[in-house]
Amino acid sequence: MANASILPLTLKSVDYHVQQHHLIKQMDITFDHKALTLILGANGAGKTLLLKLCCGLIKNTGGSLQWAEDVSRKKGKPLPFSLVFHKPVLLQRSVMDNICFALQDLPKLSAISRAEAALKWAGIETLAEKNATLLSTGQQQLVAIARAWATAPQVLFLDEPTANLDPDATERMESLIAALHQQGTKIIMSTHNLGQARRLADEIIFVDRGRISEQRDAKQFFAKPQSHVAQRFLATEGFL
Amino acid sequence: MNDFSTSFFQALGLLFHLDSDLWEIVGLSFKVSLSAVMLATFIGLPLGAALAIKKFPGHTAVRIIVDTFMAMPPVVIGLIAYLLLSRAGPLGVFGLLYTPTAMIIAQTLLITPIIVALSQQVFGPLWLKFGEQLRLLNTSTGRTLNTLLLEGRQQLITVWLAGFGRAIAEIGAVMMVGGNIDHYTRVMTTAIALETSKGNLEMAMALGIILMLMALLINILAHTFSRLQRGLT
Repeated sequence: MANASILPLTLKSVDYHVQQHHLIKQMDITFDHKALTLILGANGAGKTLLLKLCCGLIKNTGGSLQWAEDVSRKKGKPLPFSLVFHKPVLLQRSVMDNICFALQDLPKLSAISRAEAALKWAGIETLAEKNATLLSTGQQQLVAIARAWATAPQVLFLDEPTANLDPDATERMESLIAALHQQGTKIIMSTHNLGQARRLADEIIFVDRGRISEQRDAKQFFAKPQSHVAQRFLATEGFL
Repeated sequence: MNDFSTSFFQALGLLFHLDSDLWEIVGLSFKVSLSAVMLATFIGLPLGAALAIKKFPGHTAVRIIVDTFMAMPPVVIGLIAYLLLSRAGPLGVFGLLYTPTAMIIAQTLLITPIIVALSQQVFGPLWLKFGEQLRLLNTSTGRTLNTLLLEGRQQLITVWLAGFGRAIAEIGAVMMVGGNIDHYTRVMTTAIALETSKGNLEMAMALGIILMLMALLINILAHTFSRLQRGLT
């Protein structure tokens, strides 16, 4: 796993159009290794699209998106980054098999032992043999983050991972995200939950209607946001 | 009405006394239709998956051709198969016309478009649900297809049953390329047509009863799988 760091990820004037709709506009961002980055913004601001562009799930129609190292697909090898969707995507099989599915590059026994470690890390060992699709949303999200952990990504993108979770499950997810960050995984996560952003973030990127309104240190952002849209967003939620 | 009830009870007699001619016809019908549905599945499922997942040059043209073939009357499919297999046709050298193999080919031509179109409707939503996750896990094309097959297994069994139901109930194409030869290419549908025209109603009705029971069984299975699928999602 001692691969060269794929960071920083640099976006230069990135655009994304679908027909006449200009959904991402001239985005310039650099994601470096240190900060836990939270992407904030209202629904429909472009947070999910930004994450999908970074992961290569959709192709930018303008500008450039450059990783420090080659992240192209190599047969049978996991990608050096992963994405946890806000609605977990799991296969109709056991939790253990779902995690082993992501470890296709490992021999079977190593995959099982890595999957067991992932379940232990997420505190869900007791769910190992349960059908993943029959679990609660909170449990499914824990399986999704354990699966991502198992592939040891250098960068983990999370798209509103706690949007459908109750406070207990949210707290568990947040502690796992913080632990991953402590272990050296770069976290880039979208949310519109300001409380969560305040608890987790080192750095905030505020997105409004497909544009970056500001990118700042989290403490500075919450003390005094610079853009009007961010000020309005914080004021509406009672943070200003 | 009296003739009808007499024939009906005679038909039941044929069924319960395991009339050898009748069961030979039933056996051949199953052999031909099962072979055709297997071949059609082998060709149709990957094509259905490709149409659902990939945008490729000629994608729309292939879909239009598939839809056209799906709506084509069986006699036209029979004519196409006849032209392909007749002495002067491109496959004429194999001498397959009026053999069970010719009937398998005709039924395969008939139901492959059905399997393609219906499986595309299964694979489309599955790809929407799992596609991005599978791409993030860098899953190979073969493993992706295998995963989608497993995830959609209940719905795909219903597709398979629809194809089998269509094949076994079909008459036009198999009559044209099989010829309804006694003890060789006679299947349930062609035998019913012949026996009815001969006035041998008890044999026609016995076969009809089997076909109706088959249709009933297929529908029960399709509903069961569909309910299972709903229960799991």
